[in-house]
Formats: sequence, C-alpha cells, structure tokens
Amino acid sequence: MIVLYAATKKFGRLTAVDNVSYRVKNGEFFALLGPNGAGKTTIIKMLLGFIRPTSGSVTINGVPCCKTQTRKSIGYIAEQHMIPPYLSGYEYLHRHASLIGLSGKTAQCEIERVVETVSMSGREKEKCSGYSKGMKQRIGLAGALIGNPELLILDEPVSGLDPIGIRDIRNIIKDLKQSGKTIFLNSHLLSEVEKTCDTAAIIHNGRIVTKDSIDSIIAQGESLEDVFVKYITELEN
Amino acid sequence: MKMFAKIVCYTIADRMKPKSIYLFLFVSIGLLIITRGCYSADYVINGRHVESIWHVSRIVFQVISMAILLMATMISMRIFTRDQNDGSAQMFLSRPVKRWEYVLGRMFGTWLLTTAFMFILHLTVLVIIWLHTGKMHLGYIGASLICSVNLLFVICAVCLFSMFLPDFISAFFTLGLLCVGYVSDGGYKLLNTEIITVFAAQPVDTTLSTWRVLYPKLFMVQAYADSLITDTEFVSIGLVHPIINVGFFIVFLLALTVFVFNKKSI
Repeated sequence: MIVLYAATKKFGRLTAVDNVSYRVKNGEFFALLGPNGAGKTTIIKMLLGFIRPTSGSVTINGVPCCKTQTRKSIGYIAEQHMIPPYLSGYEYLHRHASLIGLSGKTAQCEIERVVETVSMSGREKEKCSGYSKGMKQRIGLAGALIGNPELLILDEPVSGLDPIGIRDIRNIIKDLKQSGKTIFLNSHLLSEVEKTCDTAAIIHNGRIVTKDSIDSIIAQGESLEDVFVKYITELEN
Repeated sequence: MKMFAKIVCYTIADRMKPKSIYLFLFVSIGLLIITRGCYSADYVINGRHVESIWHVSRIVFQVISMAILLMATMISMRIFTRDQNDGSAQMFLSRPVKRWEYVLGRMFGTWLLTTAFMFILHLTVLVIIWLHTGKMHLGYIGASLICSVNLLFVICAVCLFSMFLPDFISAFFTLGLLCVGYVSDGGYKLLNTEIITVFAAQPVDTTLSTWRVLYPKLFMVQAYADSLITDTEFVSIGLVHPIINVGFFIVFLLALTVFVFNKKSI
C-alpha cells in the first residue's frame, strides 16, 4: 500500500507538493492527473526515493521510500524514458535483471518474456541510440516489467507514441491490471485513464483537489476530461 | 557490497565501449615505442657521459603519470552529469541500489580503468628498458601503483566539484589545485637540490608555511614513486608520509561526495 501523509516538497521558495495525503491500496489502478507543473512527477520521484519530502512521509507497505528495499518490488518508467545510448536494449534489460538479483538462465528467460510482452522481439540486440522514441518507451516499459514487480509506477508511459503504440501499451497495462498489480499512473491522456483506472486524483499547484473512484469523478460531469477541465479552470480563475 | 561491485563492473564496461579509448591507448603505446631510441642515445652533460636510459625512462614515467592525471580529470568531470542526462542514474537508483554504492561504484570503476591504462603505459616503458638493458627493474611496477593514488584523488576532487560547478570548471578547478601543489612542493624540492644549495650566493630559506605542509602532496607521491625507481632514500615534506596525506584527502573527498549526493535530487 502506498501512503502519502502530509507530504510536502519545497524547492527553495517553490512548493511543488503541498501537504498531500492519500492511500493507494494493493491491487488498485490509480491515476494522478494534473496540468503541467502540478507536482505529479515530484510525487513519483518521492515514491522512488529520488527526492525526499521536506516534511511528512511517503511509504510503500509501511517502509519509507528512501529505503532501498522498497525498490525491490517497483517497476518504473519515466516520461520520455531515457536509455543510455551506448547500450543495446538487451544490455539495458540485463542490467535491470542483474540489479534485482536475476542472473544466468533466469535473467535470460525474464528478458525474453518482457521483450515479447512489449513486442520488441528481434530488435532487442540493437543499440538504443538507433531506437525511435516509441521503441525506447517500449524498452523502458520492458525494464519496468522485469522481475514481475508488485507495484508499477508509470509516468506518462504513452508519451511520444503513435496510436498503435498507445493501443499496445494500453493493452499491456490492462493485462497487468488483470494480474492484480498495483499501478500508479501519471497521464495527460484522460480518455486512456477513463478506460483503464479504478481511482484517480486531480492535483493542482501541489495540492490534491479531489480523489475518488473514476466512476464517482466522472459522475460530476459528462466525462473525465469535462470534470478535469472544470476543476482546473475554477482553480485558475 | 555486491551492488557496489556490479556498478564498478558496469562503469568499466561503459567507459570501454567507445573505440576512441583503444585508439588512444594504441597511439600512446606507439609513441612510446617510436621514441625508444631516446633511451639509448648518447647524452653528454658538462663533458660527462650520462647513462641515459635510467634518466630518460624516469622522465617518461613521470610524463605518463601526469598525462593520465589529465585524462582522469577529463573522464571524471562528466560522470554524474552524463548519467543524469542519459538515464543511467535513474536506471540504477530506481533499483535497490544505495546511493553510496552508485557514487563510489562509478568513481572506483573510473579509477580502476585509468589505473589500468597508466599501468599498461608504464609497463611498456619497463619492457623497453628490459629490451635495452636485459634487466627487469620491478621498481616501476610499485611506482606505477603508487601513482594511482593520485588518480583516485583527482577523480574524487573532480566528482565532488562537478556536483556544484559546471563540468569544465570543476576539471579546471581541480587542475588548478594540482598546479598549486606541484609548484609548492616542486619548488621546495628544487631549492633543496644539491646544485641550488651549492650555487646559491646566500643560504636558501626553505622553511614551509603550515598550509604548504598540509596541502595535498600529489607531487611528493610522484617523488616517492620516483624514489622506488631509483632505489634511493625518500625525503618527505613534513612529518606525514605523502601517501597518508593524500589518502586522508581521498577519504575526506569521498565522504563529502557521498554526503552531497545523498542530498541531491535525481
């Protein structure tokens, strides 16, 4: 279970995340929605221990996120995922496997599994510098799926993908949801969120504006997009 | 420690990916082989024939050490900024890797690689001497390993400064620190040479201020390495051996780098 309790992150005078508290239960598919600069990526970075909250706490299954043990069961893909250009897709995935303790045949099988899942079979031995944006995103997702993690943190996973890529990733995410994984998604594609997520929160200027099940949020307007625009417009005016 | 070892291995593998490093190594070895004639040249100083091979090889040894210091500065100035820009930092730190394992792994990996590079070049000099004289002077091996302490110092300093300063500035800042030490200690050594003391009209004042005694003694580490080659007695500056002096600074810089990186946002 992900628990943020009065989490605040300040960068100098700027408060990126302001007193945010919420829980994401195990097996829940949660989406964090908000305009650019709302604090979504900052929250994800706190979950991964990349940055520490200025005050409050962020825990995963009761363990503070700054502890490395929390990252044993997390798969993460960043927005416009970067892969070292001097590595091949296979080497990149092998490093992920090795860092979570997989080696030899187990690592090999796991890499083959995730490469197939993201439809990159046959291209994994190529250098990442030659990959398109979409291919990098797929390999990034494959890296996140290595080791079958319990929690997936996806920061704009379909960013830069073509419609077919978006559909493929959506299908992968749906399959992951079926397998009972906890998924924490940051996305601007509200139609995608509407189709896939269980619960969502809208964040604006570092504060959670609303958090509820997707159905309850949609019930406040015609569609998720409608409700989102309504909230943000009201706050900005 | 397992993760630390893995990151050391990955760092070495990453740094060895560009073909330019092999080209640089082969060109350097080639230059040493081309200039092998200098070792057996007939040098006359003040009408006396000098056994050139030992003197020339010592100079070449020190030039190699200095050149690799420069190379280590250039390589290490971008370790963390490059990792941040190409996603390596995120790749490692989104997995169960502690920050100190990542930081030290990257630094030690770079150190091992530059040490190996320097060792190969020093070994080439040793082989050239062996071919000329038929003697295997093993002092070179020890001296080469001693010089690697300086490499670690430079890598630590550049990595620490690169967390606050732009890459090139951190490299130049470190080189500036080295220059001050080399001028200070080199000047002291020079003033204490037999020629200067004999030819000086008045006695030379060689007392040292405290900062000069405490300053990182990279020049004296190289002087110590040189004493291993010539098999002569080493006279240090101050009470502390230069290896201990530089070792202390290395530990301090490592601790500070880990501390600063722990506070850093990824």
